[in-house]
Amino acid sequence: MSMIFTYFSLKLTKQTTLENSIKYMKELTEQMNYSIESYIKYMENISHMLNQNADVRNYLMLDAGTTEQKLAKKRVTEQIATTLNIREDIRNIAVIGINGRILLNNGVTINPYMNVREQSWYKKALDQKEGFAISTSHVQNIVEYEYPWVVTLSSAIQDKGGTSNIGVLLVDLNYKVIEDLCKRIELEDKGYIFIIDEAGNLVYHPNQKMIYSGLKTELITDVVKSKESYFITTKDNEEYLYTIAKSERTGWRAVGVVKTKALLTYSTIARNAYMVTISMLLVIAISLSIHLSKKITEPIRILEEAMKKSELGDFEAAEIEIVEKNEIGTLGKTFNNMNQKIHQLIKEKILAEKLKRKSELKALHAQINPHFLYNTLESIVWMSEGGKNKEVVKMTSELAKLLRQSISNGLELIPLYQEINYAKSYLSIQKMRYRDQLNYEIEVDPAIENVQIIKLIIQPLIENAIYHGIKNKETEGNILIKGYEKDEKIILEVEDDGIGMSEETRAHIFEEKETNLKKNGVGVYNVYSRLKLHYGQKAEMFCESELGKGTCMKITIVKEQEGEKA
Amino acid sequence: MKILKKVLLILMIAVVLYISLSRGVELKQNKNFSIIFIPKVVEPNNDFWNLVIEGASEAKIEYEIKLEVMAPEKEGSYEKQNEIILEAISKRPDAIILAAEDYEKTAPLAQKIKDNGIKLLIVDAGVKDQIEDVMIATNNFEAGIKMGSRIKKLLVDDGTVAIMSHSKMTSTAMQRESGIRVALNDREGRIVESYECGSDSDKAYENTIKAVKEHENLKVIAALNQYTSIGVARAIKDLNLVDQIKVVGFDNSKEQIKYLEEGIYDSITIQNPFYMGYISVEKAVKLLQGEVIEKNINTGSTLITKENMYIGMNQRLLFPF
Repeated sequence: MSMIFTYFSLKLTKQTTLENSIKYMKELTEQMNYSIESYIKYMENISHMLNQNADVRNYLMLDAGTTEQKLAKKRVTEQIATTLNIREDIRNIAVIGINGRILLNNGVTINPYMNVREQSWYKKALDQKEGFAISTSHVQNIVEYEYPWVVTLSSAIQDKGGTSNIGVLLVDLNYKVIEDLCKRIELEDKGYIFIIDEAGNLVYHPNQKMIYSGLKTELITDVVKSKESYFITTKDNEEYLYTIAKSERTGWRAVGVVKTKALLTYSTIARNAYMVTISMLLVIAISLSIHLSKKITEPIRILEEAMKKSELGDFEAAEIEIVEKNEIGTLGKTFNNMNQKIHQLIKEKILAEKLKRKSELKALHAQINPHFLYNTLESIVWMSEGGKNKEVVKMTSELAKLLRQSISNGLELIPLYQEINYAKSYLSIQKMRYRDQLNYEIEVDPAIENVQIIKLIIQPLIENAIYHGIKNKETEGNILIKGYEKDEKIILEVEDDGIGMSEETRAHIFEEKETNLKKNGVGVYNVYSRLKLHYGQKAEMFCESELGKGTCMKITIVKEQEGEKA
Repeated sequence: MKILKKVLLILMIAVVLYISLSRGVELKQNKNFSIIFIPKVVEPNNDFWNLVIEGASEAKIEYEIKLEVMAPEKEGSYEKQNEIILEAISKRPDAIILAAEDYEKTAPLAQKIKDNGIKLLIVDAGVKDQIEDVMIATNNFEAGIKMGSRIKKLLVDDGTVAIMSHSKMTSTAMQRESGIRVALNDREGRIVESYECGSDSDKAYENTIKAVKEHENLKVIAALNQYTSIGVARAIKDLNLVDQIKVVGFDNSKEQIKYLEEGIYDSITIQNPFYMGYISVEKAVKLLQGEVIEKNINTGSTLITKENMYIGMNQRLLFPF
């Protein structure tokens, strides 16, 4: 908007300025013209005085040598001398008679090598009869040994009756006068005034030496041809204004030349002012918009990003710093509250889940095989009836140990040796019942005895090996329990040489099955799910079996590093 | 969005800068070169060199540069000029404009100027091997041709010609004489003697008297520079031999113009000193600004006679304001 406005304003300004400038220059040139004209006129009046002088006529006409003539001569000489004295701008005054008599200045010698009658100013004066002939600037050689530059005013001297020419009056004006007149006018930026005569000869030009040497050219032809009092032209990539004023009296033209650029200083200043203003406005506009963006757009963007983070679950990173006191700020505050609440809720849920898991675990822990209890108690009764007191004592105390462990104080983790003891108790009870049918060996690396593991993982596997592997075997069965460390893992193996299981059974052994639960109560699935619940990825369970050969159950648990919490 | 804002900001800064700078750019042009001008002489009567210097000064104003003129008070001594050249070099100007005093003996100094990384322009008179970057001078050979053609016209019957030269070792003299001889063509044999006068009018005066005595049928004397021309004219005037012997002179001091009017000179061949001075400075500036300048610039010469001396351009050339 402002650009368009500026453009038109500038155009208008330039137009007006140019018009005013042309007017101004024209006036200036006219003034110069007028000055010169006045000056010439003044000179003409002086000439006129001499011209009309009776003494001049007498000097020329009367017989030479007579007293009157001599007197006339003397008086004319005096007058010329006086005039020359007073007016420094007059270089030469001469009275030249057609009859050959000549009076020159103070009586100086005329240049013998110059023929006066051949001179153009002489001829012109006579041709004109009335009025003055004015020459262009030229070298005057009428005085011997002198070659000054002058402008010559010449007029015919007539007899008393005014009918015929008797001579010519010569008045030479110092060229310097014209030069001074023209130099008086100061124009900006190398502007200048020059003068040409009717024919187009240069009377005065500030750069005349350059022009005569061919170093510069002036558009004289254009000036002479121009019908208007001004024109604008382009020379050497610069635009110039020429204003012309012609003197009817002398036929001379005064020409003012100035660069349009210099004239348009005002409009240039205006243009610069406009541009600076626009630029400043632009600066303000841009900084305003930057400021606005800071206050509004940026906060919105931050809010957007925080919401994204919250969506992804990164609640802490989603917390934003509220700086603004405006509506965006309020939005931000609300978002923060919401974010915190969600975070809180999720924490609580996670906690609840954990608790649930814990209680589940506990519940699972409590599941010891009831069948085993019954059978063991029956064995005790039977042995007691048979009077085998030692065995009764042993079996009862081992059972007590077992029960104590399984109902124990709810510790999830126990050292490995305790778990092995539990397995030993169980095995000793079972050995007493199965006697030769069951053999067992325990090989556990003492180095890992104190490693904390969850309880009740080995005994169920042993139970499984006995009931599914060995019990139905014709011959005696062997169980090997191994415990060692390998690759930063605790490895526990329960291996039997029982009847083994089919591939299909083996493949689904870790799945929750109703049939399993009914039979064993706890079983492999229990161990497996508890392992996973507690250790997650850190524990693995493997089952290798071959029908007729045996089975090996393997548990691997990644060894805990110091400082880690389970 | 952000990028657009930045672009706008930059654009606007650029606009402001452009405006403020565009005013300053105009003034950057000439960087104030400093030039030393060494003409052959600076003395009040030597209109020729005074005009050359005037032209140079005019160009100095036009191009806004620093110009210093260093010259001896008398023409003719190459030693003195060599001294001045050395002094000029020590001032470390950007360029030196030199009018060589001696074709051979000034040459090593001219080389020294170039060796010091200063641009060298020769004005009027040069050195051998053309050591300079640019030569600005009257085509003296051409001027000699003009003189020679004129002499040929003046030679009737079996008249003879004498030449008053200013120096056998100055290029200007050598070339002018050469031009005359070539123009005379088959009449070259009419040249009976070439006298060496130095730049001394009195010597030329004496030599003229000698020549008249020694050679009968002497019809034309050609004088090759201002000083010799003046000496010859004075001698001819004093000996009253104006009608017998025609003088074809060179240059246009005031005295010479008088002699031309009086008829002592048949003609004088004039140069364009103002133009020469101006152009030498102008070309020096252009050379320093990195432009390619033609190696030889002819500033021209004109043969002036009594008949044409007041006509149009001749008047301006003859009588510079």
